[in-house]
Formats: sequence, structure tokens, C-alpha cells
Amino acid sequence: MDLTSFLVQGLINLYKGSLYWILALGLVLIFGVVRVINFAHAAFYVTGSYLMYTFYTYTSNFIVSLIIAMIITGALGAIVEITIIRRVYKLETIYQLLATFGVALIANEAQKLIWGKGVVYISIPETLGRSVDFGGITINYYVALIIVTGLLLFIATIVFMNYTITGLRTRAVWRDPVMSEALGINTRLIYTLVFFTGTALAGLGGALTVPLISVGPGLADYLIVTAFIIVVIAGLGSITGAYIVAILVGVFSSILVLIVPELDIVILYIIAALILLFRPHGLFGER
Amino acid sequence: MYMLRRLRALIDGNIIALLLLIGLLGLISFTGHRFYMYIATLIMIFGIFAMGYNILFGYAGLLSFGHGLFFGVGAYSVALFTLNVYRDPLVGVLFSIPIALLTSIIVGILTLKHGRVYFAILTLALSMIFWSALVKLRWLTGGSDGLVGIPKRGVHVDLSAPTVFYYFTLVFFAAIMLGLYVLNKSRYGLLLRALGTNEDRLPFLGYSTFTLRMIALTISGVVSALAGALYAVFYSVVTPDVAYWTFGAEPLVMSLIGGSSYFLGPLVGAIIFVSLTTTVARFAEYWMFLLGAALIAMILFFRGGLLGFLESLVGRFKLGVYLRWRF
Amino acid sequence: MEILRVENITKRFGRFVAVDNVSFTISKGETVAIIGPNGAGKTTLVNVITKKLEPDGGRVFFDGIDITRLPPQKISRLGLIRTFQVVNLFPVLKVRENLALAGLRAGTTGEVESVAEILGIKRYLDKRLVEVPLGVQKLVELGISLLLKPKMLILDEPVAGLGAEDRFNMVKVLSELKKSLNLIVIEHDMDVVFTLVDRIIVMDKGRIIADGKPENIRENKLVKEIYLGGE
Repeated sequence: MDLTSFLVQGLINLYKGSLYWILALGLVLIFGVVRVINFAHAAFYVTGSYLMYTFYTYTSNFIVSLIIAMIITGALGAIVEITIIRRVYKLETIYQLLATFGVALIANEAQKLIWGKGVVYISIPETLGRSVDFGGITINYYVALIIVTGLLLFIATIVFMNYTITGLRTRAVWRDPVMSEALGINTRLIYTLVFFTGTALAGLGGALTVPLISVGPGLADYLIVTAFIIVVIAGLGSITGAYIVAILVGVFSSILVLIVPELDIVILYIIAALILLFRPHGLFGER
Repeated sequence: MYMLRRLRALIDGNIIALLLLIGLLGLISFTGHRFYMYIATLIMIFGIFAMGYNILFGYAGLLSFGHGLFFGVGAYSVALFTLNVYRDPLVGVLFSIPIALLTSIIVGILTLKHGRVYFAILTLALSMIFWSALVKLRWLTGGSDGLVGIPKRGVHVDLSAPTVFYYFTLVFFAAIMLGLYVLNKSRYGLLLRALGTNEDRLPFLGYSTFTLRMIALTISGVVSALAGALYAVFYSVVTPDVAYWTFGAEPLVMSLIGGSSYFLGPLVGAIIFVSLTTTVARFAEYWMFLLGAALIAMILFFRGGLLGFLESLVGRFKLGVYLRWRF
Repeated sequence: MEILRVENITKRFGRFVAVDNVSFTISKGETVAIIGPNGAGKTTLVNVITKKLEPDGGRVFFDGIDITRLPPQKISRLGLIRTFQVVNLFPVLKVRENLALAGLRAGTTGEVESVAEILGIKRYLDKRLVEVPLGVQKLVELGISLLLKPKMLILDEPVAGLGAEDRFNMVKVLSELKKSLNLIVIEHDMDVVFTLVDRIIVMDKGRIIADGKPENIRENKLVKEIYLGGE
């Protein structure tokens, strides 16, 4: 494999990184603002996949299905926050972790109940399935879409956080929830909104994944580990860090698989373990 | 006189309940009823796993998602040892102890210097690394198919008869449970309980929290590995699933169900969990759903687990004085 | 003979300087009080000395040994013991067990009963710490410190939150104690301070503004100003 095609492969695998990023973003937001480690995050991601599958099969409209899947997943997240998570804020972190773990169990089984134990898959819609040629390099529209979506989300998040009033309030709650409350910021509402958004983002990621791989039970169990690892390597508070790490993970895991096939899954865990051992606050973390 | 007082201090509701349970388990073998013996064996194995897990979780306050690693180390070391080195299940099980000890120490050095959240995630990562290794190193571990043919009949013992194997397991179970009981009452038990209660004060009393955590992890790891070793001989087969993090979450769930603040909590949880999975699960296919709901309900309302709930019913006097060692 | 020497200790939290270049020496046998308004840096200073916090500058010597780089457990083992402002023990464990934790480390488990007797808390031994009144809890803190065989004991507000009778008891016990070991107390209660100590160090805004005999401190203009309403 010559260098250019190698690089092109890497570039194309940005889409994998982008998907990891979309998965991680929601987790970072929820952890940063609500201070809860959401064990159910990957389960929501997969819920997005299943919902996308159902709606696309019925409507054949990609965009509409995507939006519906996102919103429903987000709504589910908000419901979980209101009914369950709210009650565990006052408890120790362990109990919060375990509560979200319980939610993950329920979500996984509910998926099996509704959609069965098999896998679901949809084919990339016609318009997006076409490829484009850039002087010898062929890029698939869909892949490009994902990469662009990831980038836009990153920019949007940064802009939102730093340049909007709600973003400012959210950052305030992130930094100091007690003080924010004292200043009159409706922290409760922000918690619910962040949960909604974070979960909706997970749903988005899952929805975008369905045309690419077959989604089935067990995927959530696998993804949650990757999601945690990305967020922890990046550093539990860092959004930019999460983007960078997620992209790198996506790109390099694909490349490494080509070079050393035996190591694919292990390499991520090993890198994570090494980084955590020497820089426990992650590469970009603040806490 | 003093000896009698020491002895009296050693006895409480826990040891009585434990001895009764061991007696009951012994009786089951006399019925010769295959299914009961099957369930009882699983209860003993997972009881050991959960009790071992809780030494780290309930006592020392460290949440681990990686105990599948220790269980797997125990299981695979028995398998590899009996299949390649020396064909005897008893020696194999005993062999898993030093291996588990070594693993625990290594894991401890790598993970115990960090805060509790990072510890949880690190153990998760380590267990998944182990799982990946088990799957990838086909030539050694049999890959995803695992290793088969772990012998029950060996040079020194013949465990092929179900009753014999049952007693074999029962002996280990009784020994480990009694050992944990003595630990609970001993000075180390006190230190570990202190660790879980108020870790930050301990250095000011002159203790190294790292050393105490290491002690907890080592005991927890070795006991969990023994559970894995017994599991391997019981089924004669080991597969990588036991190292996947979702399997390692089971002793956590068991400890919570029974009540992680109670000495017998994890064992009670194991009894419930195993009984339900082997009986009800056949009929209610999606029982995990109920488990998730039960878990949430418990966290919201019954943080003390089943024993905690019973205690609140019966009142502190009776149950509390005897079974509770912390809130 | 000096037992504690603090040299140029500084501690910052971001831009806020909690302890500002503090130096002093304490001799064997001296009983000292550190007083000052809230936020003066008294507890932070003690936290740095006992290594609950890392200093940003300076050194600390205890009994001739440089303890600046040592972790808290080593400092504790050298005989420099401190208590906490808010009772910071093991609430779910029994009083006896709390004391035993100290006893186990210092080899004094056999003395648990006698220490409890001296402090007058023997009848609470088998109760859980959280079930026991505050005055008794503070005595347990003290008991633990004693069982650790201290050469120097730093007490952070030993009578805070106590009623008159408990206060009296505590002072009585401390008066006896100071004869056999070095005592440093951080306190707001001036009666306790004047009864107990040979020397007072006054802190304000991270600095030492006065250091001397109680009579002199009482007359010190600066101290009086700072202490509006301090008694």
C-alpha cells in the first residue's frame, strides 16, 4: 500500500472517528454539566439506531427518520433524567453510576423485546450512496456527510458554549452548580436540557451508524467501553480533547488493523490504560 | 476466662447463619437430587465470587468493573495447568492461587493509586484487555471457543461422581466463607471497613491507604479467582465471556441485591441471583429487564439491599445487632 | 530544644494567598495557641504542616527531621498528630473500633480501655460513633490522638460546639496532657486559650502579626483591632 492511498484510507476513516466523537460528545456534556457518568449512553446510541431502522423502513425518508430518531431518543433521555437521575443527584457517585447501569440494562432488554434479538440494517439511501471523485480519490457521499456532521457539531458546541447566553449559563452550571443556582440560573432545567441534548446526540450517532454496520444486541455493551475510554483519555472535562481523541481513535484503529490485524481491539484498551496510568487526568483534562 | 470472652466476641448471627447454610448445603447432597445440587453448586461458586468482590466494594469502598479479569485468570489458569502441565483438578485449583496473587498485585500497582472513578474505568479497561487477549491468542487460549476437556479425574482426586465434586466445592466454599468471616472480625477487617468509611482520615492515623487498598484487592482477587477455578472444573469448559465486563458486573449486582453493607449480603444476593437465573429466566426470557428495574428501585429506595430491607422491617434490635456490621 | 520549626511556609489557592511566608519555632514543653479571625489561614497552616496540603514554598522540621517532603502517614508515625475541626472519624464504626484503629497502628490496643476511662467515655465504648453526643465524639478524637503516642499534638478547635460542662472537661484533660507532650491549639475561645497556653501566635490574612506571652498579646493594639468581636 503506497503512502497516498494510506493517507486517503486514514482520511476516509475520519468518519469512524466522527461517529466516535458524536458518541463521546453526549457523554462529555452529561458528565461535565450534570456530573453523572451515564452508563446508559451507548444504549441510547443503539436506541437511535433501532429507531432509525424502523422509521426509515416505514417512511423511506432519510432526513425525517433521522430527526425523529434523534428527538425520540432525546426525549427518552429527558424522561430518564426527570424520573430517575434527579433522585440520585444527592447520592454518592457510585449510586449514580449504578442507576445509569440499571437504565442500560432496561434499555438493552427493551430493545430485545421490541425489535427482537437479531440485527438490523438499512442500506445507504440512493442519493447519498454515490461517490465523488477527487483526482483519483473516491469519497462516498455518506462518509463525507458523517465527517462534516461531526465537524459541524464540534464547531456548534464550541460556539454555543462560548458565544450564546444559554451556553454561558450551561458553562456556569458546569463550573459551579451551587453558585449558578444562587445567581438565579435554572439549574434543574439545564440538567434536563443537557440530558436531552446529550442523549439526542447519541441517538443521532446511532441513527447515522445503521446504514454502515449491522446493529444488534451487545453493541451497546461494547460501545460503552470505547466511549468511556475516549472520554477518559481526553480528560473528563474536555470537549476539544474528546473531539481530537475520538478522531484519532477512529483513524488509527483502522490503520493499525491493516498493519497488525491481531491487535485491533486490544490496542485501544492498552493505550487507554497506559495514558491513564501516567496522566490520570487525561491528555486534555482539567480536573 | 479471657479466652471465653474472645470466643464469645467471635460469635454473632452471621456465623450461625453461615453454619446453618453450610449444613443445609451438605444435606442437599444426600437427596441426590441432581438439579438442586446443580443450583447449589452454582450458588456456592457465585457466592464465593460475590463475597470476594465485596471485600473490595463493600468493605474498602472501591467499585470495580473488572472482576471478570480475576475470575477469568482463575478459570484459565486451572484449564491451562491441568491440560498442559499436570492433570489433576485439585492441584489445578490450588495452582490458581499464586497466579491470582500475582495478578492482583500487578493490577493493584497499576490501578490503586488513582481516585475511585478512574479505578472503576481502569478495571473495566484491564478486564477488556484480558478478554481481547483471550480471544486473540488462539494458540494458547483456544480463542473464542475457549478450552475444553478440563478433567475432573486426576492423579490425586477423582471428581467425576457428582456427589464427590459437590463435596469438593462445598469444602472450598466452607473454608473460604469461614476465612472471610474471620477476616471480618480481625484487625484487617476493621482496617478495611475504615478504608471504605473514611479513607482520608487514615493517613493521619499513620496508615498507608495504598497498602490497605492493596490488601483488599489481593484478597478480593484471589477469592474471585478461586470461584473461577471451581467454575472451570465444574463445567469442564472455559470461554472468554467470563472476562467480558458484563460478567464482571454480576458480583456487583449480587452484592447490591443482598446488601453490600452486610457480611452475608453478597451471599444472599448470589442465592437470589442464581436461583432466579436458573429457574425463572427460562420462563421470563427478558428477566434482565426486571433486573435493571429492580436495581434502580433498590438504589432509589432500598440501598441496603435485601438484608437492609429485612432489617428495617424487623427493627435494629434483632437483625441489626446480629447481622449488620455497618449501616 | 526545638520540636517544631516552620520556615517560610507559603500556600496559595490560585491567586489567593492563604498562608504567606510564615515562620516560627516551638520548643519542647511549650504549649502554644494559634488564634486569629476566620479565614486567617490557621487551619490551612496546620494542613500544610501535617501534609493534608502541599506547601508552595518553605520547609518544616519536626524533632530535627525535615518533614517537608514526607507523606501524611510518615509524619503521623513520627509523632506529629493532629485532630480536625469537624469530627472526622468513622461514624459507622463503634467508639471502641475507632480507638482501636489508633491502637493497632501504635501498638496500644491494650490501652484503649484505660484511655477511655481517663477521658470518661468508657460507657460509650460499644456504641457507634454517630450515636454518641458531640462532646463525647470530640473526646474520642482526643483519645485516638493519645493512643497514637504523640510527641506533639495539634488540636483544631477542640472545644468548638461544646457546651459549658464538656468544655470544662476538655480543658481539664488538656491541662493534664500539656505536662507530658507539646500541645498546639487552634482556638477561638479566649478563656480556654488563656487558661491553657504559655504562648500565643496570632494570625491574620495568612501572616503572623503577633507572637508572645498571653499577657502581652492581650495588650497588643494590632491584635485588639483585628479582634473586634473576637471574644
